[in-house]
Amino acid sequence: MKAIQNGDMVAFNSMVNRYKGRLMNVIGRMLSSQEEAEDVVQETFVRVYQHRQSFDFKHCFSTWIYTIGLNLARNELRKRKRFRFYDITDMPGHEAELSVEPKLPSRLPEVLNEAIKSLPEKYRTAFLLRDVQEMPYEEVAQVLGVPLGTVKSRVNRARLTLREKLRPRMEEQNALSKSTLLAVNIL
Amino acid sequence: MRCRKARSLLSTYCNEELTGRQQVEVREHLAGCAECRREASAFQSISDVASELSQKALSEDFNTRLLNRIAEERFSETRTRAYLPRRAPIISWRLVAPAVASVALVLFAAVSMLMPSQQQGVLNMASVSDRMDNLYRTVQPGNNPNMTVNPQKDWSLGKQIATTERFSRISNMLTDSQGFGNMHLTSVSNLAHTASARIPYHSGYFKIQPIIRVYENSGKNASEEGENAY
Repeated sequence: MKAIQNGDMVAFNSMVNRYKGRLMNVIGRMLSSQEEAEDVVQETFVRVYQHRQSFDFKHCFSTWIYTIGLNLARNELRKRKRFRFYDITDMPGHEAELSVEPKLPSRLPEVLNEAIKSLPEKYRTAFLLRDVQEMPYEEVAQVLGVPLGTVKSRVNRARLTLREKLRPRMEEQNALSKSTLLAVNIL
Repeated sequence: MRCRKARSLLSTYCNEELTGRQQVEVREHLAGCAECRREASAFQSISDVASELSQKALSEDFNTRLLNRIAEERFSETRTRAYLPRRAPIISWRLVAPAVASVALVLFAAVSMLMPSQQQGVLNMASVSDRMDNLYRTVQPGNNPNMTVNPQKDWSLGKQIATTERFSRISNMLTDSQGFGNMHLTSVSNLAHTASARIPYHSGYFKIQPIIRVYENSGKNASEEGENAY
């Protein structure tokens, strides 16, 4: 960060390569659109560059960059709530464009992705930072700006909600695997 | 430990966040409860899949677009610094205050020394008409070639109007026998014109022509009336 403050663009480039994936992992799952998520990640790096001189070395850099990114993502979500965006495929007259039926998620990762998107925003953010990004609880608390106990409570609530949402799917898969095993045994 | 208590701790147990006595109790309960073992397995699957979720892919030109934006930012920063004027020096009032105070004192002393007559005028409490008359004094040129008589020191417009009226009355008495009470709305310039033989000032010399409306005589002293009218 010292090198970036002195204007070293090589250091800035290496920082971008280190954090762009992590940020996209979190922000891409907060926002539904890939293009919006990329714009937010880009804006995060631009803000880091603009305010590089005001960075306080007492704080952790990853906490700082995640805070900027999440605030920008939240602003984007609030904007989407104010102006309702309609997908062109929802509008009448575009049924012919939907020639391929949407593929239902069958594997657990896809199912989990869909379930994460349906979580309330504050639980979703805490879950993504803790369980997906595997950040320590203390760092998550700093990024979100809430007490440690609140973070633990939100993460626990997110896990329980995901378990309930995935229960039917997992039971179905369990039943399927049992019947397959039975068939194999018979054979 | 009961199932209800154990299930509330399963998510933290599966993410290896439980420690101490609670961890031991949950482990012992799971050893003897198949239902809770199934729940623990489900939580473990979710935790494993969450940590292995594939990274969201970025577009190929992401870095290029970002560096272009950063380059624009650097350009605007440099340009702003080049065109901004230098910061004005910060004025420390502690240093400047004595100098300002001394200059103010010197100016005050100079002004008080150069204008003693004004002070006297204030002390003398000149009348309103005299003060206003003094303004006209400034209009009068210093060296009027037409002037044959030196202006009186106590000249005032009111007195001049009174004098002019007296001359007018006298001339009216001489020209027609109607006497007082026949003074119509007129102007001093006209009066001055009619009494031009007596008034040494050439009316056309002055750029500013004072126009004073003199109303009908109500029986008061002419000089008082002239001043009051003004």
